[in-house]
Amino acid sequence: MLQQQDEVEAEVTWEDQEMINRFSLLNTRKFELISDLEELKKEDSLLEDGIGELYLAEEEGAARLLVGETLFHLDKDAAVSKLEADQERLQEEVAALEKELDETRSTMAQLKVKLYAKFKNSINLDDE
Amino acid sequence: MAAALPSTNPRGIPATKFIESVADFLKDEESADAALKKMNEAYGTYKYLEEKLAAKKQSLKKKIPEMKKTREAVLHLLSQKAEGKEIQAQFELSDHVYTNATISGPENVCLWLGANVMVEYPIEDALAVLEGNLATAQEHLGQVTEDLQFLKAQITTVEVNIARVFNHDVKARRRAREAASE
Repeated sequence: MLQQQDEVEAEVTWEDQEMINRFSLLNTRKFELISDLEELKKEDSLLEDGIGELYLAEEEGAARLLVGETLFHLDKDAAVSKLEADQERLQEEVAALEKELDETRSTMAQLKVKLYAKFKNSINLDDE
Repeated sequence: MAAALPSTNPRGIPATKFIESVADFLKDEESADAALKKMNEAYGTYKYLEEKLAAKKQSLKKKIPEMKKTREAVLHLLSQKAEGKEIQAQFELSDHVYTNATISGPENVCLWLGANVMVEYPIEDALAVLEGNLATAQEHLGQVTEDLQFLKAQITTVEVNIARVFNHDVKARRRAREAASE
């Protein structure tokens, strides 16, 4: 609980409300991005392992690719090309999400500075 | 005095009013407690809507990769057919049981439409159906995400409104107590 002397008299203006709403939205988005990135990185790691194994495999025509519930037989080379293409697309997606995460964190930091300046202890913007 | 938040939501979710000045706002209300009760009810409704939409979003986020996999399988059939190749595959006959299959020159595929209904399509048409379904799902996901963002803004505003009215009431009571004890 705040001590009486720590209370802030400042009224919340519409601009303040917009900043608070934006912070809240960005905060939610931040967690979503972190979770999505984790999923993508797991997928990337699986693709990496798959490609590695294929390179080590000796027999030609040895690859079976699981799509949904069916295993398609593929030439080793075709399989490697496909996995590498998938991985490239995935890594582009990861890069885009990481960029968005950076921007989100940076905007959140700016909003924090402004809001804490006005409301000091009357507002809590930290949950980690 | 209260100002309406900009933009009503395309799916008709009501916007909440921002309170410019708590003192002025309370003049129009019976009491701080009555105002708080109304605001808490609105808050409850918003939170309930948010839960429902969040669940819908999760379900869409799961379905979309599955739809992409189905499309990928059909594209694979098409590409192998274009090269005139026969496809060797193993498919799931039942749980943990697979069997060999040779697919040559596929003309049609069958799409599972749900509700125990399966329809046979020429491959190109099947692809079009799958692409259409995927586009619709992605559009829904976009709408649900937009709605959730709108809801979040309303929820945050109501939370701040409640806190301000409550604090205002606390201060008013304190001033009244201090005045009474003089």
